[in-house]
Amino acid sequence: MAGEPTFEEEFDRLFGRAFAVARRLTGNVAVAEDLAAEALARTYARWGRVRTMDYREAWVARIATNLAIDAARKKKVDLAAAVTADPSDDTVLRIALVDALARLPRRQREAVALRYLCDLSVDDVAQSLGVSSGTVKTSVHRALEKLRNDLGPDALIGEDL
Amino acid sequence: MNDFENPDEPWRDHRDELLEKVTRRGRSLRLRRQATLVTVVVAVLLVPFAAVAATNSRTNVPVLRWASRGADAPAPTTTTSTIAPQTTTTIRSATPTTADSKPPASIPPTSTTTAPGCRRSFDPVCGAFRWDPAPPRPNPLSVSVTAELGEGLAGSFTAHYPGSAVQVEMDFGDGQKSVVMADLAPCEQEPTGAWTWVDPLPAATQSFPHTYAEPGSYVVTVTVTPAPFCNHESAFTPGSATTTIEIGTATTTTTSTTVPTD
Repeated sequence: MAGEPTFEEEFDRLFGRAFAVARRLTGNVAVAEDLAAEALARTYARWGRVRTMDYREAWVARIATNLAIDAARKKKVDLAAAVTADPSDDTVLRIALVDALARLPRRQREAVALRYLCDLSVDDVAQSLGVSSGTVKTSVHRALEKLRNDLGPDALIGEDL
Repeated sequence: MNDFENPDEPWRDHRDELLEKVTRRGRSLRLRRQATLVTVVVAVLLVPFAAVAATNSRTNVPVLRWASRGADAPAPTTTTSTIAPQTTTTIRSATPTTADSKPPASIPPTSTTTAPGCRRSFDPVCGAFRWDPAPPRPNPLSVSVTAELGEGLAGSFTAHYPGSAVQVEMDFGDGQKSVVMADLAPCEQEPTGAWTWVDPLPAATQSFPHTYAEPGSYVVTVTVTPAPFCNHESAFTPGSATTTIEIGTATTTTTSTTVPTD
């Protein structure tokens, strides 16, 4: 369709977003690259639909998030052994975070991932998920409450919504 | 700091290789999705046909099975004897002539048995559903007629029916008739369960005392039909037997024929 980008044109931007999300969750560059590649492959398989979306990056980020959590849940990723590229990342906290994210309902997990791992605004998250901004705020608020309960009040972002 | 602003993206070193890998994997996923979609569509389209085919396989393919008695029944026999001063004629009626009375030559009789209650049953215990045709009808009638010189005639019959009341009509050939009902068994409902007749079949003997006014030759006819209050027309064959007797002579010669009435 005219005016819509090709997959090759969007590859760099989408892969960069997927890679960043996966690296944040896994802390492993190689694993993050594999997860990002899988997310992009799934995007390619559905490119006919994805290319018409306004928030393709958010869509790819959701896939990458779910892939990373699934990989951690299935023990495909050894989070404890991951070499973090960011010294500020705490391996222990990351393990706990992934574990806590995995226990969240799907909608809350995706909202948190898009809001804090992809740094999307509430409105952008709402549009990418196809829900209202109020729903996103509620989902994120409840998700953060659960994460704080699981990880402790000081372990999480103190960011206000 | 936001990771997305981090220029350190090691994957960019082999970006083309990653793109090729991703597109190859993407094509594979797309083909798999399309194959799955096609499979689902085909399955949805074929389900009604499969259901119809399954129904037909259960209802439209008759499995012929023959009651062993009908298949193994002895051939009709006619015995004529002359006894002075008595004459006894035993007539075994002809083999029923209805279309379903004999198994076709191409389908040999089988001794397959079916559990009681399984006739035309969908119960899994009974195996595959099968439509069993009516079984061969049994020999319906044996008739004995005894004539006594100077005293008249005592007719008797022995009827073999699968449990039923019958009506017996005795025509003495001189314009006199006797009609009796013989309760071989209470009227039964449509046979259920396996298509096998009760063996031995119920039988009865009935006498018809009669005195002829004049000597001469008389044709005696015995007709056995289902009792009118029993709806067993489809269950067995009415039978009729005739015999000719001579009254008033020293020697009596009899002949007989049997004519099924249906």
